[in-house]
Amino acid sequence: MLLERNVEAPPQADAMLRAAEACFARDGALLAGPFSATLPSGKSLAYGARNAQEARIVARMAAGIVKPTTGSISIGEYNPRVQPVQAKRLVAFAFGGDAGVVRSNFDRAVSLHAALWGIDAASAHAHANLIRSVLGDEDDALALAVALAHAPPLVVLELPRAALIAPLRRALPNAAIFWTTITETHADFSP
Amino acid sequence: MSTRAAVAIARRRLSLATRIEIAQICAIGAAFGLFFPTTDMLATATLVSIAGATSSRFLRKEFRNPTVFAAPLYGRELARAEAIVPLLRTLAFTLALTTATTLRGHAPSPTAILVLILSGTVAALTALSGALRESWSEYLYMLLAISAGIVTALASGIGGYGTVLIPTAIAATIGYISLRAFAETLARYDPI
Repeated sequence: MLLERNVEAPPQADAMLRAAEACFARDGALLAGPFSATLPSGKSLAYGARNAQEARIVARMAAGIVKPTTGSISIGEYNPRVQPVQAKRLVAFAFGGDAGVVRSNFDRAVSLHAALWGIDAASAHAHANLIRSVLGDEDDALALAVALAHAPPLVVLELPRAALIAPLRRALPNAAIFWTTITETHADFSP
Repeated sequence: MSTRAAVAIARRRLSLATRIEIAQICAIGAAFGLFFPTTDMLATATLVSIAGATSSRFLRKEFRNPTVFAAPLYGRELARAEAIVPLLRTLAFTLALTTATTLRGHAPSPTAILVLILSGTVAALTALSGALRESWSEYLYMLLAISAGIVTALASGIGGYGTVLIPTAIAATIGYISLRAFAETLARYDPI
């Protein structure tokens, strides 16, 4: 269920995230989806999940971490199943649980991120500190600042605090922002 | 993959809890070496293999945080990086054990030390894929890992103690296949 969509975007080449009936199932049980969306640069999109597990899985599918069982996901022009490295380079993924980033280890976390993404440590620190100055010093904001250190065009947040979205949008006007949330109004009409 | 990324992942895995756990396992190895310095090669290799087979269990907890899976790394790159700490843990255990045995005046030969290191290495690499599996499947991997370590040690007998060629060849073959299997497991893994 799409909760928020700034624009009804037609399928276009510059869509940062495109999902077509993406579902995730395990042991015959449908755990997430079907999820269809097109998210161009500069726009925001939220997915209202039935429960926390679905919210986690959909966010991770959108970040190219979890592969859909059926349907497809494209990040930029890449299929994460075929070109996982190229797809992941375009994404900042903010983990919904305890990412283990606090004020005392923030710099170390940014250095680790720079090493994993193979980017210059100085520019990663500069960018992460800039985001941190906008988002604040809460643990989840710090983790998000670390995830954004490589300045990607697509930001995927897993069950974020609502208060993070508006400042993030202001800080990254050109990025595509996708997040998952749990909706209490979700109606299940299945038999 | 750059060495920088591999070192960064290994440093992250070497958390305080992991370092304490490595110190504990080294203490167990040293105690065994001190109290049973005359244990034969096969029994010692079995113990080293058990240490190797259990060396990657901590990864299950680490993988609950999927941040590392968001990194632009191929499965094989991630596998090599994640193998560093289990191998270090096994090596530390082996060296603690052999050092303690040496202190008791029963120094193992360089060949024996090398074979023990190879056994531990094979066991650690074989057990890696088990870290992503549940219950009996994980235990099956551990059993397989211990068996691989013992087979490597037994091979040193076939080749004679003067040579380490056969155990090295076995260790290289099983180790390579195991690391490839772990890479494939990581590439297919869905952290949900």
